[in-house]
Amino acid sequence: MTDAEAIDTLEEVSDVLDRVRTEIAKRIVGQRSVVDQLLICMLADGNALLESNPGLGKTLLVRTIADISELEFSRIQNTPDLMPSDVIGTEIVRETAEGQTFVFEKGPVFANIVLADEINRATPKTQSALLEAMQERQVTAAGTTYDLPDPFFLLATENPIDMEGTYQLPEAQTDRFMMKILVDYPTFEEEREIVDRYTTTLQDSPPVERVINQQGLLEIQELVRQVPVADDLKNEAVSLVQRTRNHEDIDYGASPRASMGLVLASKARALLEGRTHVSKEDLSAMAPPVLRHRIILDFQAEREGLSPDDVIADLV
Amino acid sequence: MSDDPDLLETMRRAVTAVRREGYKAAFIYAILDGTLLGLATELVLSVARIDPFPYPYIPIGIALIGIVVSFAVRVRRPLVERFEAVNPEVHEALRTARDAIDDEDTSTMARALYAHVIDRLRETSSVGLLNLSRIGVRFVLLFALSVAVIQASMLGVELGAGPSGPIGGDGNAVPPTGSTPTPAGLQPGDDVLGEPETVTPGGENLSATLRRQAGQGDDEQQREFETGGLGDDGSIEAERADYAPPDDIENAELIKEYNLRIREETDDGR
Repeated sequence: MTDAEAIDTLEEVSDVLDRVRTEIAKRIVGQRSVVDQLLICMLADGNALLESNPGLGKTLLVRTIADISELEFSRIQNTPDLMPSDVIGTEIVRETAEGQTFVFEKGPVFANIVLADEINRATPKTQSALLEAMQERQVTAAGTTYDLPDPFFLLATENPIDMEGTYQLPEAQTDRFMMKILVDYPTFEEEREIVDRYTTTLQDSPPVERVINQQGLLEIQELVRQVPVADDLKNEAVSLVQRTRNHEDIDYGASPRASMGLVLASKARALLEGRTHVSKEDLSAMAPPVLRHRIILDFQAEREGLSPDDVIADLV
Repeated sequence: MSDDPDLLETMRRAVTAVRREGYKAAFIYAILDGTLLGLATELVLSVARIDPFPYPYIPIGIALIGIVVSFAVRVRRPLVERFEAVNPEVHEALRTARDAIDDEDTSTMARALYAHVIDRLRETSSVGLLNLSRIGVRFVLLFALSVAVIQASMLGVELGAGPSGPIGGDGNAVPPTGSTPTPAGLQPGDDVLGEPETVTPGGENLSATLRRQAGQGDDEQQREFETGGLGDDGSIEAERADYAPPDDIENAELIKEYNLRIREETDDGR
């Protein structure tokens, strides 16, 4: 690739990402920050945990991303009686010409984009079934390991209220989410626009165009890995994560996986913003979604009403 | 992905050029600092009345040392980082590109970064490396020191020395405070003659008659005196005062005539 082609490639990527944002905006009103964070997570090849009160469009957002890409999409509605085999698949007996054989029937986790809705309603056993899929990009059933399609995203949602009958995600599992994205209520104007957009036709949601395919997404993910980062910014990212382990308001700090996630998310954000390098602003912007689910505040801080974001802001 | 190093080399040259700009700025500061130091040395030598002979080039040598030291100190600071600091629009990109160069990064994104930085560098300026206020202060000091050196060389300025010696000074004395120095070392008349005051005119008229009368000797006759001084023993020997022997014929005739008249009067009186 020549130098001019490299620049052209970057411009094409910026153009594609702009079109992705435009298509998403046809269905999602406002929530620019949430959309960007979700796209960043996908470009960085990470998993995302979306948390919000019901009715804020989490599922619609994930479904829209699947619609604008030529990616296979599946949805898992988590409930307490959901079994691991319901997620990863199971072996079934099938009648063939040679007789009865065991055939592995793939579960909904075998898709490019998997929406695990209300993941905290699944039992810990089922949640743990997703651990291998999230980290290793593979599942094991009946002693056989199956690779998941590439790219693979697990986008989970959880509801912070109505906690009865839920199972809090274990730390080992939350650490495997690159980001925890908080979806907030829309403004008055945005909500008014939502009402206008979704109450005038019988269509469930406005149509969107497919603007990116599987290969295109993989190429962009490769470019994200190539985004140069200055050495001092890398040091700053690692230092920030390490400070979470010594902060007086934090009982348990973030793991080295957080350092990798922070740098990678910053790279993806830089590319999404059309930049060729990571800036300090990227680190600051990515620190809350990357770290907020990886730290556990101590009792004193919680009693004082501090949130993880407050402590992260203090660290940044 | 290609390994074509053209853009990488271009980026390296750009960083070198940026560093060269830093050298230039450091050299400008060093020249000013060295010149200031040389002038200050010259002034100190002039004021302290230290003749630098046989080393008349001491101020020049100190100025050169000042230039070298100032330059060395300034180039020890990271020059490219200083350039980045005064050009914030290219700060992070250039810093990242430098690290990418060190890593020999020729990926697509790194190439795009190099192209971006080279393009942005054309819009930057190294003028910011020169702090205009600091340079202005140096020029003011240079001017002041130059004037002081000229003053000290032409008029002579000496620390701790006041006016002394005969009236009018010896040409090297410092004029009294508050007085205006005059050319060629002359002191003002008021300092020599004192404050002018009003004199009351006199009212008494006196008559005086002047008569010219010739004396009895010749003004031009030479007189010799024993001027041997005191003896070795401290005693003083008496000596008779004497006139110089008459050698003027006119005086001898006059005395002779005078003696004859006295005799005639004496004879007549008998």
